[in-house]
Amino acid sequence: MTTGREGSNADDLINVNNTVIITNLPEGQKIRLRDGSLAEVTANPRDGAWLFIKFLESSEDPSLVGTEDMVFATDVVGLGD
Amino acid sequence: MVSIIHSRGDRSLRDLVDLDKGIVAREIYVNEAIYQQELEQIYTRAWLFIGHESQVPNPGDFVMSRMGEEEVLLVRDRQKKLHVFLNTCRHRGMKVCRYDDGNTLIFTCPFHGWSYDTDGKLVGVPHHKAAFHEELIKDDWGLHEVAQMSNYHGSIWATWDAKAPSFEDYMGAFAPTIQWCFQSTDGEDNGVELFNPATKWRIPTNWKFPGFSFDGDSAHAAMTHRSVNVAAIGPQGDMEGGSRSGVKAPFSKTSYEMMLPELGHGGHNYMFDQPGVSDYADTWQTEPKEVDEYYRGTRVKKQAKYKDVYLHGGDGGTALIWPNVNIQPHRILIWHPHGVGVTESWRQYPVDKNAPKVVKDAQRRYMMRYGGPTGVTESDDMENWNYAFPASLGTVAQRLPYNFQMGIGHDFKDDRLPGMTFNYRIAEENQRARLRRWVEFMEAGSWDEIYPVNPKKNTDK
Repeated sequence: MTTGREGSNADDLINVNNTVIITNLPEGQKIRLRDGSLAEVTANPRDGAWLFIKFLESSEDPSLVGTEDMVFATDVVGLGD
Repeated sequence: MVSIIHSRGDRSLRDLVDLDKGIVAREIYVNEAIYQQELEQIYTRAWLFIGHESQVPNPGDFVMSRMGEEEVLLVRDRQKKLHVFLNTCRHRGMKVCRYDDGNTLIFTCPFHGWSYDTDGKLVGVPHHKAAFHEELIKDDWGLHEVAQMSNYHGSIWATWDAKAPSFEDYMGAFAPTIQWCFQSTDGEDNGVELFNPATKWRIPTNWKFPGFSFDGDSAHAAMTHRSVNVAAIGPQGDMEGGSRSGVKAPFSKTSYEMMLPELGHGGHNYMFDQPGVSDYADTWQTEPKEVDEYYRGTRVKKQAKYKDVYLHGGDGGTALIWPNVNIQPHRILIWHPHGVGVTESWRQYPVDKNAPKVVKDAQRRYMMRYGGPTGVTESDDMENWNYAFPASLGTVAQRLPYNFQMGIGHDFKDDRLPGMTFNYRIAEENQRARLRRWVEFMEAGSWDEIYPVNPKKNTDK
């Protein structure tokens, strides 16, 4: 996985501005959400706008853990460990 | 009765169409107000051809189609159910899909990101919590779906009107013709697939020029297509003098114009003097021998299936299904309105889905040289339509009616095919049937006025 800092290409997951390029995220990839939650990508429609996710951790709302939802691109702030 | 108002004063549509005399005003082909009325009165009500289930075999598959001027999506959802949706986001109207076909998990609008599942439900709204305060009821804002859809032996049809009769009632006595056109050449139901993609192009003419004439105009072939026939573009090359069509074995039958004036459908077909199906005549002289071998084999199977059946009106014929699609065994021709003086023509070509590649390739090559925007036969037709429309636009031209008098008063019935109206194989009875239905649809306030069919009402002035 490249950070894209040295120059970007179409397969990068993060671009030079540290924006996560969600179009390329594979299933199983862990991601950080704006509210601090950690989630796993369960399906990627590759439209650059939405991801299907499962919550792994959520300090704001622990009841979300294990549930599935969709997340919009601007709410994905980073890649998980 | 709906009137149109224009600079020449109020005139009803019935003043423009006199089918007892076979006289039709050119105005109905060139008037913008009439065209807009057609989009409302005809294209929001009629059953329209969408595509074929073979175009969307897997969950998430979609293909773009049209209903009138409007784009729709034929989609197979993740539960394998078929849907037809209007291709417009419910938020601000942007197209949710700009591809001709593909496979997707969701349809996402590129404007504000609203996303829809393959069953049409609105599933993703950005800022739903922060900006909409979770007050937007997503269930109310899914993709707009057709009121009725029918999968008829693999062919997909749809209507926006919940009050439209069922598809089979809409088709009437032409339903078997549709069934047979989507059989494979061995007589198996739903035995075809469509070549992908469809060919699409626009011609500068009103949709009714080709739409009302195409199937029901035998008279034009000898003149319009003379050069094509002489050029021997058919699969048999110049065998037996050549033709644009294939070789057919002798089988006693008579060709007629056949139509259902009460429903607006019509075409050409045969009444047979003997039951069953003709023997196969080798025809693919310009292709590998495996092609004739394949079709010879499928013909034997079809003969066994229909051995004792008179295939009146059903074998080898063609039908224009009101308002704008022509269905033939190897071609589907759709005339989409695209403006009063523009028609978007689509061609889709069925082929036996189990045929080997050599057969499919041969069929594809023949269809490309026969029809479509580069096919030599349709180039002839387009030349007529391209010039008939502008030649009818002028002030003086519009004072002169069109003549639809061929065979008028010589229609008849035949007990062998109850319900159907017949005329000599070269007539304009088909076109008069469509024009009659055109007036009925244009005047009707709803389906209640045009179905069930009331023969007495339909002949009243």
